[in-house]
Amino acid sequence: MQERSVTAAGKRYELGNPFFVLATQNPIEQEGTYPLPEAQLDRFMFNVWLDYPKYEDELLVVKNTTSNKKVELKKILTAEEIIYFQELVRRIPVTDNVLEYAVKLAAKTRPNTEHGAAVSNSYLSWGAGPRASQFLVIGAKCHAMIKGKYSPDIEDVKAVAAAILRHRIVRNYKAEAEGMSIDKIIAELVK
Amino acid sequence: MYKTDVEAADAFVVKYKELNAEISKIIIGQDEVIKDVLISIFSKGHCLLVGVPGLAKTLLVNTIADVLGLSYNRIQFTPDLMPSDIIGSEILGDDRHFKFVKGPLFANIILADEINRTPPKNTSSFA
Repeated sequence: MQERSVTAAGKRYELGNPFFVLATQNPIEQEGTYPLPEAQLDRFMFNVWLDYPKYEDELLVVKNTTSNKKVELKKILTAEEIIYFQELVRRIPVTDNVLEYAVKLAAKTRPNTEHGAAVSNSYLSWGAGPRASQFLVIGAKCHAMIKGKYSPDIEDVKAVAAAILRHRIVRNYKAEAEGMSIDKIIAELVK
Repeated sequence: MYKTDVEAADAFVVKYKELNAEISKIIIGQDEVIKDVLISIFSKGHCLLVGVPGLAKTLLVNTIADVLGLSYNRIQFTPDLMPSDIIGSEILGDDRHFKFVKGPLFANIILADEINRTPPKNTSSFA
């Protein structure tokens, strides 16, 4: 995932380009599972939580899927275009104050360090590493682009912060006892 | 492909809207999730989806692979899976030489279904 290549029988093989892994996890059934090691979890850019659909949406889903309605999908992009846009996202400029905000936000999650926030000191046992700062900046750039902006601002960093930090911070027993959820802590940090 | 970066950025917004319109023909609601997945693709990142069964996680990945025109493989993770089931392995060919047969990992989009059902030896083979 990180190296975009694998080694088998002593030979290196390049993986596809673009290469994108989407993994799923079920949060309720934990029996017979092996929780992902923190180091492997850290390689995922986003941890996205799916919720039950809204009532109106579910009505439409059930209506569409229980009839024989067939939808033909158009191909919108080619692999070359995707690679081009991936490069474009990296090329867009970022101002120093946005960069500083992103790095500071990651630093704020680290308990009992120089920049650690009060909420991290009391509720977290581990904070996010530098990979979080990198993803915060690149995620903000992409978020700015889809909104039609040519440079990210602090709002763009905030928009992607929850999905990036969620799996990188570890709560302590006090947070669990007091019912401080991960998302509550992140909301406190970006405030 | 485009003359200037500004022109390309404007084209990207149009393409992104088209992508959304096409995906929403299949996936109803879940706009935030679709946005996050698309951001991670264009940022060269990877994405972990957490949710109870039946929320159209697999369908979402299928649909995105379709509209992006990329090759797509799904790997169901089970406790007895081996790394060679993911990467591929060397087998003896007709010409009495070993040749490498690529596993499902060689595609543009990989859906790693229930990734926590397998021991870390497997996830570390590609993660």
